Amino acid sequence: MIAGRGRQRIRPPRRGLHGDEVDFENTWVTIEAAFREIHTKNASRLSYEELYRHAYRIVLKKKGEQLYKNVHDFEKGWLSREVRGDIQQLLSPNLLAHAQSVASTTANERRVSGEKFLKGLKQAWGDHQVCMSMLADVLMYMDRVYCQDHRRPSIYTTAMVLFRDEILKSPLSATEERIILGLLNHVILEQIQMERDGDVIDKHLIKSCVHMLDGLHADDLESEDQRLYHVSFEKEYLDTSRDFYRAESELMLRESDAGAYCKRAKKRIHEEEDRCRATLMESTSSKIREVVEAELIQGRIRELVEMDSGVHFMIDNDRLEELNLIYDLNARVDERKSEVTRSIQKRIMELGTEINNEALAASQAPAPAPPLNTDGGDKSKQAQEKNVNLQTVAAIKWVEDVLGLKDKFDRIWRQSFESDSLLDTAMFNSFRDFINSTAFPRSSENISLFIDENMKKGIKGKTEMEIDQVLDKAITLIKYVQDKDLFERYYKKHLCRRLIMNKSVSNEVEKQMIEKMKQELGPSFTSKLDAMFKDMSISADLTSGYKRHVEGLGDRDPKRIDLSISVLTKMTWPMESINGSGESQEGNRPKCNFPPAVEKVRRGFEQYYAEKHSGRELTWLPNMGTADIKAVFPKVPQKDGTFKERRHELNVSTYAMVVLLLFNELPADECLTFEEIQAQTNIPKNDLVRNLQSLAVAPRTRVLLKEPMSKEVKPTDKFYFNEGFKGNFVKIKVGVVSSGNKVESDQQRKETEKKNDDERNFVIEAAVVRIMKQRKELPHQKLVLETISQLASQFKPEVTMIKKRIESLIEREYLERIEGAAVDSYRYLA
Amino acid sequence: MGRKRNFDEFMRSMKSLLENGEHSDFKITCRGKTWNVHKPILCSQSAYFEAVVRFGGMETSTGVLDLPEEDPEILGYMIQFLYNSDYELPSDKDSGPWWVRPDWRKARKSDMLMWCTGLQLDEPEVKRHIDNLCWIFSPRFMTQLMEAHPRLKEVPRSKVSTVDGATFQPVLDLLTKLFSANKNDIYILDYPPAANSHNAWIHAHLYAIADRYDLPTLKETAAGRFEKSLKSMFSGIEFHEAVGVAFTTTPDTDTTLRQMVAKHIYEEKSIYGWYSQLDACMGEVPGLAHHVCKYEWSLMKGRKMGGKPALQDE
Repeated sequence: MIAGRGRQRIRPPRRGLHGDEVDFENTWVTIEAAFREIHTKNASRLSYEELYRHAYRIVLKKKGEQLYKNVHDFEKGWLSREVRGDIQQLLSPNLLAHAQSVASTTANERRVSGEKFLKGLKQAWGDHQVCMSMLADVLMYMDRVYCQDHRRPSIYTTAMVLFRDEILKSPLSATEERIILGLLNHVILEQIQMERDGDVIDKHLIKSCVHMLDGLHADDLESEDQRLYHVSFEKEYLDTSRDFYRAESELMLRESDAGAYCKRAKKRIHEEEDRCRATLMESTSSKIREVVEAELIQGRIRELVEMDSGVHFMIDNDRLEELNLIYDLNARVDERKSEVTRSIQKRIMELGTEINNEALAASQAPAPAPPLNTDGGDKSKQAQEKNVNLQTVAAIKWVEDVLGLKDKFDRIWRQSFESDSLLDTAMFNSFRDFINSTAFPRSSENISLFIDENMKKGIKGKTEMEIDQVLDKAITLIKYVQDKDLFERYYKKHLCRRLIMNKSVSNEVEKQMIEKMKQELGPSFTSKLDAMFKDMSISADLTSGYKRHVEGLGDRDPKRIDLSISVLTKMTWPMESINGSGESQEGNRPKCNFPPAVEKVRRGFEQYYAEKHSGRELTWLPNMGTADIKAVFPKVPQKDGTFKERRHELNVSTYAMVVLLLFNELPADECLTFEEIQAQTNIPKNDLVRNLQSLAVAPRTRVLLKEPMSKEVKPTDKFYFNEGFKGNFVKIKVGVVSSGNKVESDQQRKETEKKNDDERNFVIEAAVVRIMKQRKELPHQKLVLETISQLASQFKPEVTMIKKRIESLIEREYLERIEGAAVDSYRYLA
Repeated sequence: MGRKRNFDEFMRSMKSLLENGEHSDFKITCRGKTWNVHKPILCSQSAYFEAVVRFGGMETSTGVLDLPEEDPEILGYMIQFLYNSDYELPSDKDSGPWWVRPDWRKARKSDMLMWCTGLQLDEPEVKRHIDNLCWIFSPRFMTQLMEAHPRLKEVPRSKVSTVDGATFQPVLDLLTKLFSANKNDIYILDYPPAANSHNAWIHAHLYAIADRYDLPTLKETAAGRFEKSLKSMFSGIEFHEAVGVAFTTTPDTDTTLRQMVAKHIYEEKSIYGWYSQLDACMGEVPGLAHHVCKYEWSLMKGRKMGGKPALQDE
């Protein structure tokens, strides 16, 4: 009946509520005995449960405080009696002595006795930790209840503090004032110094001692910044390291070259990093790095860069690795790397100026050329031609030298400077500075000539990739040029000749070049160049259109002359180079008298063209044209004794063709004087001289004979048809002297620059007006600045030039001065 | 639902680990009883067991932890908790209320008059008499009581059922009958107590053992169950004993159980004088009176401040 609703149970006898008091003294005796066993490594015979329960009961019965105190006193006694004695025994006399005088012992002795001391201390610390964690386990209930309720540090923490006070802060001996901690720091520092000197030390041992210092605090609050490692050891470590590296850097600067210094410095930095990782604490890494960098780099970098074996030397000897080292060192202490940058820039300027000067010297070396306008004799003229050739070679050499220099520094930049963007800019600026140096005004022309040379010859037989590289090099240089307008002028001039005279190896490559320029410099830069290409392609259409037109006129005339025509838009093409050597202005150029057959073709085409485009006027430029003519020379005896007529196809300039056709009308033995030829053809004197030189002086193409036979052509010279002309090939090209693109003479350059300046005047005025139209009113200074920034992509206008243009605009009443304005200001007049 | 099933399965396998001792690597013994246990399960829940294993003393070399000073029953519940995250007392399986008492606030005057005449006692005497009857007999004869009064079956287990005067009449009749039948051996203190009245004592001990072996979750569980069992306990020797345990087996700073007891006594203070055991408690258990006073003061203070009673020490 009752069963089923819980069992009846007999309970163990209740303990009295107040009874069961603990006998503290006896219990403590048991606990203390057990602690001694633990300290002497005999714990295996102890029952944890029993000890725990003793401690538990003491705490439960409110004797926690007494227990805590007893444990503290026990531990203090143990450390000061047992452990301290053990440690003091490790202190050999030389260990104690060397702290003051090192001389009496050898390094090895010191290392051994130091290690012995460290080992002993490490052992004592390790034992203490193990024992204390066992004690803490036994006293777990005390920690959890008594220590927490009474806000006391755990017994383990207390015991660690005891180790600090009873061991580390205890004197070395009864008679010594120095303490163990001081000796410990000293020994560790000495071991590290031994390692710096190349010795092998027990890193693991030191790391253990360092861990001990890191685990202890100088205060009793265990605050993070009061770790003994920081407060006691680290500070001393940084101080001694500072002294050491200061001395070392002085020694190295005296005794080694810059490269060796850099290697050593970098090695030292890595060593210290490794040391922090393997021997000390990672947290010291950044601090010691600062010390080493301050001593080895910060105060030394300038001296290092400027040493005889410094950056200058490294650049000249391609010491890429050393450059990388010195760059790395500089970057460590200065994110702008100013010392290396300065030195690199200086060297670029020096080398660049050298290249400039060499180019100037090379172009001036062969006999100071007399100015062109003095009417020098033929001799001086020849010399001048030669001189011009030399200058062209010098120009191209200049470009190649600059590219070589650029390659060199690019390589340094990539391999040594880790493609640093700041250095990139710095190097760019230096290149730009020497390329645009006022002492060397030929950069634009030289670069254009370089492209010209490559377009005509250089790229022959090259692969697409190689060609692309050449073009890219050219673009690289163009980017440096500040006066883009001047470059454009030269490029147009050179391109014009290539196009009209069909000198380009490949039209495709020409277009690629233009495309690249468009990408780099913008479409406005290439618009005129594009237009030139357009003219050329329209002309090709015109030529074929005209051909079809002629064919449609009637029966094929065997003597018909084929016409290939280029119609050039006057505004697009550089007329000054078309009109030749600036000797005659367009408009008063005498019209060449074409032979009737040719004249007929000319008229025919003009008529055809006028039908297509009414109102356009065509001006003929015979100085730019060429003609293929078939020439028949009388029979002469051959080697085998037979007689044979000889036929040659001559490719000559239009002028030469006109001259040669005169001889068709002439009996074989008659002659024409220079004056007669000039009178009949109306060819400008200069052109005529050059053409006659090609026809009658050049040995391979001597279709005419001249009397007297000499290199110069005089007005009274007589010319005959050379019936005995011998040519090795059927096709013969009669070149006209000085038809290629060559460097300008000084006078030409002056003219070019003057023209360029004239055009700049327009461009500046246009910019000023554009700005003022938008702003209406503007102070002088602002106007000048805006104008400069607007024109930056084309050229760098001089301020005086802008001022003059503003004056001129005021005169012409586009602008007016604002009277009474605080600063000079202008107003736009609509 | 899958997760619940997985969890149940997991709990079953944990339970069987303890029951058949498979893979056991350690033993706990206590007064002739042995549990084959598993270090990972023990150590992962208690710093104490971790220390036992780590210390490397006798327990490590023998593989046995002997706890001769524990009560095997309590220790058994603790180990059960380590494997099941709960412990089960025998009475937990019972259903229905385990104690019945009249709700005096709802008792009608007429019923009261009737009982007074029936028992030939004045009103306070009647109340005390009936309460005593209930206290002594209702747990023991609950089966009969429930048959006599089927509504009691609906009351959940471990609850006190307070019934109003009218419905209490049949219960009272039965109790009176039983009382007369057992009149000879009703000297209250000597009568073996009901199993349930012992529960508070067990919970208090579990709370203490959890404190001793550093098992915070068991402490929390035991405290919760202690509080519940207090409510179903009125007075008597079991109450006295449970209070004694609650006030002496943990440090003074651990006031969780102490406050629960204080609150309970304060709430039942209207019957204080009737029970010699309660009075004895107040005199004997150290700190009990202190905590009750403190509780009352916290109520007054709370009222003054217009807030709820503050139970915590300030």
